[in-house]
Amino acid sequence: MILPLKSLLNRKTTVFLSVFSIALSSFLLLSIERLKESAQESFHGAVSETDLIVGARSGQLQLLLYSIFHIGQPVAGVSWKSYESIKKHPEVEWSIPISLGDSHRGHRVVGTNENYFQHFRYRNSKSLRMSSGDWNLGTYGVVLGSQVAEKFDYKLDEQIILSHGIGEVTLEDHQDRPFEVKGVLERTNTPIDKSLFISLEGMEAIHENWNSAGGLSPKQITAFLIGLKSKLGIFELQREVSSLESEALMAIIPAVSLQELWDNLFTIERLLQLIAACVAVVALLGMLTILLTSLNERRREMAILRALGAPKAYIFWIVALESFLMSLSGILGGIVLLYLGIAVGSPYLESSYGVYLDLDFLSQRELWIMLILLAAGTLAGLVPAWKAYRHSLHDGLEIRI
Amino acid sequence: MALNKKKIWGPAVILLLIALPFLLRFIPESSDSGLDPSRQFRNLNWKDLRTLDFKTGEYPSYLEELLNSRVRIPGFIVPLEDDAGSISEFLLVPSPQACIHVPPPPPNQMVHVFLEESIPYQPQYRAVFVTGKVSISEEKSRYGASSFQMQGDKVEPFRRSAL
Repeated sequence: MILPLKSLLNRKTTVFLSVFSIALSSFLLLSIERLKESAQESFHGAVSETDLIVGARSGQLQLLLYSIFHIGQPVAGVSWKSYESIKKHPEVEWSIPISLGDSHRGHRVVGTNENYFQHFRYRNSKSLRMSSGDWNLGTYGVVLGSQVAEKFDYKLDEQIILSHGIGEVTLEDHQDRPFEVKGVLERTNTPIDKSLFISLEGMEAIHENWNSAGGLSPKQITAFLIGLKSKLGIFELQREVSSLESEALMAIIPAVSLQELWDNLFTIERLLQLIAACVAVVALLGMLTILLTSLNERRREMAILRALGAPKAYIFWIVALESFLMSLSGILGGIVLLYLGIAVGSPYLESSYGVYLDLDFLSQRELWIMLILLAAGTLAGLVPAWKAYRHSLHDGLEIRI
Repeated sequence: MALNKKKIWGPAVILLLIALPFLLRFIPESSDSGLDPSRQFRNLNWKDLRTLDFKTGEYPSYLEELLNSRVRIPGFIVPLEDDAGSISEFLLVPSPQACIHVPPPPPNQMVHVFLEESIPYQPQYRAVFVTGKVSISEEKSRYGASSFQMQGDKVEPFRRSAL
């Protein structure tokens, strides 16, 4: 055990380089796995326990994207009359209206009511919780997602101004109607963290200049979520909604659409994994090259060992152990790099991509990947070990011209 | 210097050794054979399920007999709960829900499945066999007085040859 270590230390530079390349490749494999897992978690966790999402007739994915992930624009709204009539359907247990279209410094403003706080569930049926203040929207109250509050450092009772349209820079601010911060939600790791919530009446109020009709009762919403009394009514109600004569609406089952969207993204993820696996193979081949060339330099060393009475098998194990040690330290280095990367990079990833990385212990899958890498490295090392085993004595002592 | 056979085979062996652990991952796990009596099942099809009158809750005795044993039903998954890509609760229906030309399935053509352990949802799970215990739930809804529930213990991709 001591001898191979000393021998490795004697060849520091090449050994270090090859260990480093193994470390980098295992880091790559691990971080792709981590990113995928965290993206999958925040993606699939975005909505839970909702049976149907109803919106203007467009595409399934489009409705899902704008109602849950706040990506893209709705093509049309849902009239308040249709919402009222579907809400009263005997199979509907609860409903959450959602009205979109305004923003605050690049963050979406969601018009809704107390049902959102009461009935909305995310990841494994978790309900929303306030970290400060309470969900008391009134007409000019606003509740902030955790990330919005953190980013702009808003406190309770502070006045903020919402803008018309969506984007970082807006020309039409609703200056005359400031909103007061009533509460801040706890972090959920879903798009909620990046949103602001106001009441439907507030949404109407800031658009009063456009709607000359007056009155603050909402006339239109963007979409609504519903929960059913019995899951068996899903298909019936879905059909009833999409065959409404009065308005072109559609209803989607969120879990089905989420799955569909994820399947499309899955191919890209597989491709990334494949690239990472190729990198790992290249790193192992590099290690193998170094071991094989070093055998040439070490002919004398091996011969002396043999001459001193070391058995042939000992030579074999020395070389095999070397490759094992190199891949092991490479993998450990990769894990260290991963945690360093998470510690350094996660605040940046969080704020700019909304991807949350935890400093969790390695998952079972990740451990398996590392074990496979270790096994591959050790197996690859058997080749130079075998070569050394075959040639150790005569190779080193033969006189060459 | 003449080419040595060993020298040609060397790199091939090296590549194989490196690739071996990666290839091992793709070997499918051996499926458990039906030798264990507790793992045995009877086939239940949608025609049998249709014999339940969902308005009155009446059903023939042979369906009752089937409901008392562990059964396997072929069908399509409509996921209901989705957490991090694994599903624990779904509706099993006799046809994929893409066709809008036929009316939605009646209560006796849907099975509300709860899995003991959630399974990772895979694209090949579009059509599946679900094995487990089926019971009749008296959960009242506007669409019928009774319907099927299932405690599933196994989900596997549908194979026509396994019918």
